[in-house]
Amino acid sequence: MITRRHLLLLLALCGIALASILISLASGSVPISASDLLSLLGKPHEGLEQQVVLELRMPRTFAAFITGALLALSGVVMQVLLRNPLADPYILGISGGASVAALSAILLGLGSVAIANSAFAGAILSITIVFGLSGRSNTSSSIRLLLTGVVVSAGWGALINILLTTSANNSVYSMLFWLMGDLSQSKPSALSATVLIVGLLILLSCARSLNMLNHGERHAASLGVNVGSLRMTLFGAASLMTACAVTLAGAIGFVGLIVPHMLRLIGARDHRILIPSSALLGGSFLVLADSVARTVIAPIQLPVGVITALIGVPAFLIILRSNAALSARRS
Amino acid sequence: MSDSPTASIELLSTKALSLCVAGKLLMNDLNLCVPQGASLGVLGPNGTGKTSLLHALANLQGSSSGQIQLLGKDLLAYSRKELSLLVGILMQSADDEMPASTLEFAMSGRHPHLPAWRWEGKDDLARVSEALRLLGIDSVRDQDIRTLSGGERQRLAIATLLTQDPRLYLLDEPSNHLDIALQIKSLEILHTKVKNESGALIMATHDINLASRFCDQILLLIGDGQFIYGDRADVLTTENLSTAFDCEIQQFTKGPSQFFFPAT
Repeated sequence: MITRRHLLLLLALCGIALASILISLASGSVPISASDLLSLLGKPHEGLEQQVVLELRMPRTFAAFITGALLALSGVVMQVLLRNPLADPYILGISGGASVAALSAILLGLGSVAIANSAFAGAILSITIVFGLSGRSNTSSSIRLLLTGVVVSAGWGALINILLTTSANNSVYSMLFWLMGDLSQSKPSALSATVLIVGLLILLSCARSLNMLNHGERHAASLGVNVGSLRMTLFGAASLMTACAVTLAGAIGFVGLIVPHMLRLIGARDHRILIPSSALLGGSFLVLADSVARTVIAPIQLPVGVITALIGVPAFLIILRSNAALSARRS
Repeated sequence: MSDSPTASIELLSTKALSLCVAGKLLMNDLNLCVPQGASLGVLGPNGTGKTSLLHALANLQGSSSGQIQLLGKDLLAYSRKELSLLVGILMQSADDEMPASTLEFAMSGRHPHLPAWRWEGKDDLARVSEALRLLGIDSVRDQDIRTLSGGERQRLAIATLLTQDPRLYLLDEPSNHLDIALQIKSLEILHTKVKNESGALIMATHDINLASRFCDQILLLIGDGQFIYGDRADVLTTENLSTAFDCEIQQFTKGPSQFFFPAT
């Protein structure tokens, strides 16, 4: 049942998304006031401020929003599919494969487009390896898939360390930035926007089946869910979404793990609400984190992955604590 | 009293069904015939395949050989969705790692009845509320399922099955976690529903007396693929039960009812 609370939550998240985008456009080394920003967006006129907003901040803001939304959606799906609250978009080794490929491109001195392309290829390669190795059997495949993913990730980790320890100092700096997740080179591509929209629609179309899957594969199957094909669809969608996110901004941690849990804790447990909410909150969260990363010790820019953890950890702990206090009072 | 097969259509039948799990033969050449309105009790020692049989009948686990027919049509010819409108199963245990309220969980029984994009409506909510009320758990409708007691959780599973509203009810140890009054009450609810709506009920249980009270037919599994199947009065004898359980079982008669208990 859709309740007024659900609708209010969605409405509030839309408001937060809009506000976070405006804050991101206004903040930076050239601060722009809210009224200036609105007039600037409204009518075209020449000037440095407009150039900064439209050509620098706008693409970066949208890249951040798309990346955050992709990661949060992928996190929701992985947590349900693997039935593991610790699952995140990278748990099956997607970021490891992307990282090795991206770092190799950095080592070869290639440009940002080539780095992004090789990251995407690395992500797809890693997905292929993990799914190929874990086989296609239905029963207890979640655990085998999880183990395969974790082990393959460890392998990628070793390769990443080899690349880091054997590279020249100046390329190590860009490698570390890439590994921590960074939006400074990011531009939203048509591919990533398409993957986000198509992925969102696919997930919404099987949202109620995801509610069933939440209570176990047998429960879902006995209620008419075709578990095998649903799992394939969801793994495919989640992997592609993660691959796009990693390609846009490197391996940004925390968004995919924390955002779905935050929403579940405040009552969005139904996937028909949780899925759109995650996209909105994941996007807003990363946009805000990137605004902080750009401005907190300007002119130096921090990698956004550091900020997602610094904001995300206390925010999550506060929600977890207030939720525990609430349920203690109820019982 | 058993229905004569010619008077009613078989809801479920199996032909030469054999089940083999992990290389172990559980039952061999089983020919079940469960007419509409009937109740079948599945009894037998641990590990003889009661749960595997129920899962095979719900097509959650492939049968090793033989055929299962539902309303005269091969079980495998039904899509998952069609099957979920006809067959509902009460599992022995629940996987509750993820949060959900009692009401949300019970609502999952309406999933097979709704098209993909449709939200549950007033009618669905009324059915769910009615099922929760029948099982006496409407007071915990907003509580997280992970905080329910064992008995409340079991009644929620039964309520969910009622909201699913199938023709064939497969019950795996329905009396689990329930006190003696609730055991009788919940089985009476299901039994009455099956009789009134010409459904059928198959329950696997360790409680011989519960099976004796509610079932017309009994399938007594002995192990190594062997079984005794027939009308209640023919199967539930001290001799059969003592052989199956490898333990001396005594019988006690009071009025029309038979009671079985291990010899002291």
